[in-house]
Amino acid sequence: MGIVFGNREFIDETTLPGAQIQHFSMAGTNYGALFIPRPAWDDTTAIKVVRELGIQLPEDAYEIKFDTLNSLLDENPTHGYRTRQQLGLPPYSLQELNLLGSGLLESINLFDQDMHGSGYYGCAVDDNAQLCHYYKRLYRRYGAHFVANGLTPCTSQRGTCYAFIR
Amino acid sequence: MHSYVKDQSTQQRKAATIKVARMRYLAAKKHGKINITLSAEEAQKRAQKSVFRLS
Repeated sequence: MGIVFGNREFIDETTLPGAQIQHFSMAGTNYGALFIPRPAWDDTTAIKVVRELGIQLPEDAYEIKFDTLNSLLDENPTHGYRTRQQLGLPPYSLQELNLLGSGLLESINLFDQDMHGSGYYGCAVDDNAQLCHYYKRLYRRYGAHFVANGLTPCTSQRGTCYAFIR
Repeated sequence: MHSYVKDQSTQQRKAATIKVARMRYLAAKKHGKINITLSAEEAQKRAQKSVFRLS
């Protein structure tokens, strides 16, 4: 078992110019880390990150959306965040959750190696408590790795939002 | 209330954008017209040097 990376691709230059998706899979589930340039997108999340973290976000930073590929490209936006159980999938063990987190962080790392973004930010969808806890754990465990690449990690008290600023 | 309505309409607008982007992305994929910025092979090769535990 492990993370298998797929292509990174532009989504659509007309509707989301500059947005790219990094594919990877784990245990038969496909995931996508979607990087959307702030100017191509609505600023709601960016405003929330600024408010929650008390930092300034560069104008050309990237918002990160992470989910299963099916959920990320879901036609029905009212579905919102769904647990693996709700998706009819068996729950992950702690080891698998750690692997999944590594897949997301390496996706950010691979993207940054090429794009050298001024910053990256995101929020747990729907302020979901489980997701906040998960992201906060990842932050504590791996945040320091990004410092070596010139990115300062920031998160809120509850782990609702996070950012990496260059 | 105003803030809630504003947030709801923003969410709807974002969802609509994603929906269109999704349709165009899937259509492009079907026709093999996706613009790849990092190949799976290269990503996998680079990930072997990752500081994160990936297996």
